Amino acid sequence: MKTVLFLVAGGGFQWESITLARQLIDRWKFVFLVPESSTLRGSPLEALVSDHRMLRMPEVSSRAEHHAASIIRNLVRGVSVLWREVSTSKPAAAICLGSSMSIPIALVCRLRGVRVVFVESIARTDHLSATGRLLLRLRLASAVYVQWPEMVSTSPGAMYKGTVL
Amino acid sequence: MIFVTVGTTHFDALVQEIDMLVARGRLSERVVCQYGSGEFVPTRCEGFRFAPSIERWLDEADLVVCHGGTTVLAMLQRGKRFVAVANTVLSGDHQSRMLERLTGLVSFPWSRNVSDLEALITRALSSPPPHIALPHLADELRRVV
Repeated sequence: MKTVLFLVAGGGFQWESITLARQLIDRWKFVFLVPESSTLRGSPLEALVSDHRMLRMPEVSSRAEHHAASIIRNLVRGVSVLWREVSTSKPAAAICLGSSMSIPIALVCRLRGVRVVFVESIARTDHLSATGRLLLRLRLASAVYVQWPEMVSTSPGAMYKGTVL
Repeated sequence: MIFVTVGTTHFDALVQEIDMLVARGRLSERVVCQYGSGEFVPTRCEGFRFAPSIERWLDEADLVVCHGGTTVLAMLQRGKRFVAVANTVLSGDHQSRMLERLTGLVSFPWSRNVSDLEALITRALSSPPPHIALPHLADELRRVV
């Protein structure tokens, strides 16, 4: 069975990411990438990760930390945690939804030859997020999906193949 | 039972409106209200601020009244009768735009105005739950990974 890295970022992205993961949970072995500050207790995420592995990743810039030094430190920590994980689990792909956490994840995966799939949040109805645009421009993602068919014309390079529902 | 949920934020205008409708006897159903971090505490319906999980109220409800955030997507996915009111105080136009886009794909009762609530509820209760039949991105991901 293939292993897939799957980002479940916080805030509004969590519900969408879990909704998508649930439909794929029997297909692959998951390594859930979760922000360090995520509280799992009692959340729908707790039930989902119980049979799979979870990796806590530092958020590059959380609400608490804005100093350049801590941003860089968190970036380096995140990269090294993920680098080790890729060596250990040899994932077939990384799937990321919405969050800017996708960028360092995509960087590491691209360097290690792991394909990256980015899904734009369903809340994005008009145009790509800065994260989505960056991933496309730097060719860090092998596929970028939007969840509204009308967005394809305003988001060159992105595809519409349905929603997380 | 009508279940009102404002999610992780607050939506005083909505909670006040529902409380007022119950006070005036305009709603014959039992009403339960999850009112979040709002200042207004409903006095005419059962209520609570937050719960670790609202699944059982969602399951039990004949109708869900929610704000225009991602809760709407969860309701469409559940095939639940619901009414959405955009929270313009908290999110400006953002929720309205998403709701407008969504109704292009599947019809459901919603408004930018809390004062439309009673009419929306009446309409929702006498209609079948909205059904959504969009392609599943999961199918594509199974194919490409």
